[in-house]
Amino acid sequence: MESNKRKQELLKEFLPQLEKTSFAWFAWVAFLLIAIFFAIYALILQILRGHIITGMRDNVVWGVYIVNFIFFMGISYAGALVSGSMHLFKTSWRGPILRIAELTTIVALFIGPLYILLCIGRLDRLPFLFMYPRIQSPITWDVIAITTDLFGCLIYLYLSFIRDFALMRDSKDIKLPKWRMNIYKALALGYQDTPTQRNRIKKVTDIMSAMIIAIAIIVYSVLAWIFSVTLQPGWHSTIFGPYFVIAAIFSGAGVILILMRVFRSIYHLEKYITKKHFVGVGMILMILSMFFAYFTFSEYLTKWYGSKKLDDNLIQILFTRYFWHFVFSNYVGTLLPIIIMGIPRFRTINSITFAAVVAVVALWVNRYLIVVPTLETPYMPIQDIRPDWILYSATWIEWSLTFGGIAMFCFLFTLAAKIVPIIPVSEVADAELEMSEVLAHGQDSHEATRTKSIIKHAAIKKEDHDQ
Amino acid sequence: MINKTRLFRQSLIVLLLTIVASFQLMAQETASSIELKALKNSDDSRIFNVKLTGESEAGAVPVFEATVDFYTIAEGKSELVGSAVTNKEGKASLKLGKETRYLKSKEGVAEVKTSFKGLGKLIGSEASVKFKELNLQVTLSEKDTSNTIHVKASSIGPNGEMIPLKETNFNLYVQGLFSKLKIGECFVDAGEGTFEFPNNIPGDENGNLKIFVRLEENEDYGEIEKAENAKWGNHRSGFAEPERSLWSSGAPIWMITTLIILLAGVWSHYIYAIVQLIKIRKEDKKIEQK
Amino acid sequence: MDDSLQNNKNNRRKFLRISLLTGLSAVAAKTVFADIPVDPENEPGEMVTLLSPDGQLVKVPKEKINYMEKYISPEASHQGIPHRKFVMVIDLAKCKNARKCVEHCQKAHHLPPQQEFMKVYLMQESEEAAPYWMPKPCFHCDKPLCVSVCPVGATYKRSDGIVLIDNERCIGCKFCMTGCPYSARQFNWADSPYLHVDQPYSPETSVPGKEGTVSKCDFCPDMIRDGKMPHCVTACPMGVIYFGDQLEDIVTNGDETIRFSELITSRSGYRHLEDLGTKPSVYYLPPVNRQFPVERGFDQPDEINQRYKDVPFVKKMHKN
Repeated sequence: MESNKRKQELLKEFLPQLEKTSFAWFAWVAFLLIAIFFAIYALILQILRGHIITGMRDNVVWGVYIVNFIFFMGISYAGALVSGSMHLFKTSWRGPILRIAELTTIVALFIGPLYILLCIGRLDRLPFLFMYPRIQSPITWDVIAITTDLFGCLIYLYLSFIRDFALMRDSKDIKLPKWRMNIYKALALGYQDTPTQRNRIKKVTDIMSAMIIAIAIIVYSVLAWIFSVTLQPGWHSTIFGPYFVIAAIFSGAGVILILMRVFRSIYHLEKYITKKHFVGVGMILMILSMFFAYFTFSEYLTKWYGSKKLDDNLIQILFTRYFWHFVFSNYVGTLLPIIIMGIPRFRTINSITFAAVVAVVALWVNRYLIVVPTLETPYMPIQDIRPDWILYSATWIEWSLTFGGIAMFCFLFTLAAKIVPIIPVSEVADAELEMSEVLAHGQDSHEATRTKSIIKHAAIKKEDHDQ
Repeated sequence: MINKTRLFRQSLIVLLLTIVASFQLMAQETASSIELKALKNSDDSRIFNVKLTGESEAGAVPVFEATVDFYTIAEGKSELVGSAVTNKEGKASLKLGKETRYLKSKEGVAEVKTSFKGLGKLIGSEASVKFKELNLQVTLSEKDTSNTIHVKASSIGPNGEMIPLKETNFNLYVQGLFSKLKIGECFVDAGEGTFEFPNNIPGDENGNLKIFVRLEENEDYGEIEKAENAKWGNHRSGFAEPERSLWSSGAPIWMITTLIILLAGVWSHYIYAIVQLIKIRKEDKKIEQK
Repeated sequence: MDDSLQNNKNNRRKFLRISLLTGLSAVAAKTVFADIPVDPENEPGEMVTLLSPDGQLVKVPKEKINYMEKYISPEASHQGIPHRKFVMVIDLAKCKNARKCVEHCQKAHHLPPQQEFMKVYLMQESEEAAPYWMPKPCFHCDKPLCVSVCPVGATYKRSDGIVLIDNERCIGCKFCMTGCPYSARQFNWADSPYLHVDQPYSPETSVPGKEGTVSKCDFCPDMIRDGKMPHCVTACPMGVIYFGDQLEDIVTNGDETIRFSELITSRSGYRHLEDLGTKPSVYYLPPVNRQFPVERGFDQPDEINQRYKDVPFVKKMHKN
């Protein structure tokens, strides 16, 4: 089979990444592990001495932990949304970036919930969430939603991996220890790339990609509702659901761009991840930053225009105490991607990556501005003389756990990239084949895919019928 | 002359010193004070409440574990009727049944004295109350929608004859959870008085009320109380917690249905996906068999 | 007042008193003449200064309550006191920030100095408006958002209107703290000697507190069951706080007993932030015809007065 040969060729190209580990790799992993262990040390201290060693107090009861929670969950949903919609809408250039998006989803999804655990005073009672659930609580919704999302993402991810696992199992050039080969063999699930199997995978992946999009939207709205169901002036907003979803995809697209840039250099993927891909995702980033700016603007405009005392207090604080944070996150963070992507001359791989970095950091600060100043302006005035009770400032414990989470993200991503090729080989090979077919027949590519998928569906139906 | 004045001066100093010393001696002793209140209950028993405090630098401090004795006194005679021990609040009480015979003066006035004898540095103290016997009858009547309380009161004359009570105000209360609520006053003259009971007092969950008719701070008769139970309350149905609400233990039905539909929709697709994966595995085996 | 109690309560109290006295004589034998200064941090129990019958000032442990006899377990505490709906009315015209409510509440609930279930705010709605002192307990709302958002049912609304926290169930997620618009809830951020009290835990007493869980004013149901009013009510020297059962329509501040509906209508009672729709069980009587000038409230240590430095009235006062 022609496609199979091409796939093995492609795989061979990526094998060195899986087979060899350089000194730099070990150094990088060691660095990450140090950061992670330091975070674990901070966590142990927090468990032993109590939450008093964080900056959180009775007014600001949630600090950077919840910001990180929103941040990582956002990245995760964004990965799912980007890869799901690219798959569903058959974006022609999706191939090389699909896996990065999928891995982002799953890795961030493992880290995000850890941060909500850091906010919990009694970790020993965590099982209570499942033993005595109250359906009325948005936290219960979130527990259910995250679990559902995790399972969905794992299935979706596995579906996209299965063909590559089969390729690796069948590869004769691969030089990996036997145990690793056995794992690949088991994970490949006996996939032989027969038309029936291929169509099955295709059909399920289509369904799951649609599912993932829906779940990501619902789940991230649920997270937004944790805030907006309360009466806090900065949170009690009807647009919080869509606002959070948009912000999530925005930051997620940024993270995917950064990862694309990183893997492009490290794995020398210049051939596969090209400027076209950067411009493609960059465009998504730009459109999202416009949406995000629009939501942010309407959120704060209504607060500012109306004259409610507490809204007014909040706006006051945002434009005084948090002035530079506000300017950075809501002006620079949204305008920079628009400027860089909007003016063709500025669109270089590095400038797009720069815009992505700024957008991601700005989004983190944006979440901080949603959480902390709101809690600093409660309904009852804060009449206290303890400075840490009046104003929140994160302690080194919280910062080291924050950086520990980022290190964990990098670490898991690094490991994942050691286990599977960072480029979905089968997907890319198929896309190449498709393109060449299209070119050969001189047909409109869109029509070609449609005809093909109709044929495939017919084939599956026939197979099922035969059985 | 000189000697005389010196002697005089010296004796004056000695005298002064003695006075100062004796004051100091007295200052080391602690004065106590006792408060006594008496109440005649519905069952014609009497309860005597005592509070004993001692003066200290910190102000009045309750005296605990002190024995106080109660005497009935009249015309120079005195009989012990009982004693009680104070608690940590300095309080003690003595209940005397209706069979108790109090010594009485010619005018029919009884006096009960409580006394703390004093011990060590604590100086004793006394207090007393005076009262005359009063017959108090309370009857309740219901007519159509109006509920009435009838109060009859008469004192006992020196020869045992009944003397109707003149121009006296009785206070009316209903019992609340923590205290009694005053609902009005009943004016008694020529031994009788009536009171229209308000119809908007809730009472307990069954509309039951405990009504008190009290004579308070009366010079002649002291404190007298008579209690009656009546089902005169207009208790409305209480505070009903909604069965399924955001804050109850059971969730609203719509919430449960929405959740089930959403989860069923999503997880059925997951199951479908897993079934497809299992099929792929089976197909592989088929191929191998072939 | 003993005589104002129902008979059954009288009997119970008497029983208590007798058991107390027997226990007391044993204690007294050891503690007479033992005027040892007590370390407040490691205090074995609350002490009271009394005079012994022979005129010695002694310190003896305060009434040791037989907790097992009245113990309400966390499960049992879900049931409200039947046929009751508790309300509190706070008369702002009488409050002069004497802080006795705060102190007694803290003592009864074993709270450290900075932690207050009852807080006294200096409120001033606008720069022109008159400042006033506002004692604020938990409002025990009828639509309690804190209860709605709890994921594990650790906080609950009872049939008697009281909102309690079971700190053996609480996972410490603090969601209820963001849900409460009245800042009524507090978190036990660290372990402290105040959390180690030798008595069985009941949500009705909120004692002992537990690290990593949330706590708040509980309306003292343990006191109510004993026929007594919450500590803040009895502690107030001004009779600011009225407490009672809305169903029997009677509230009292200890001195004065009055119909709840009459008090609220005649004095234009209101609930704080009514428009939030949480339906508090705590009502306020507006600070009109005041008994004290607001300045009387500054008769407090500096660390208390400093709290109010951002109130426009105080700023103005410092300028002059």
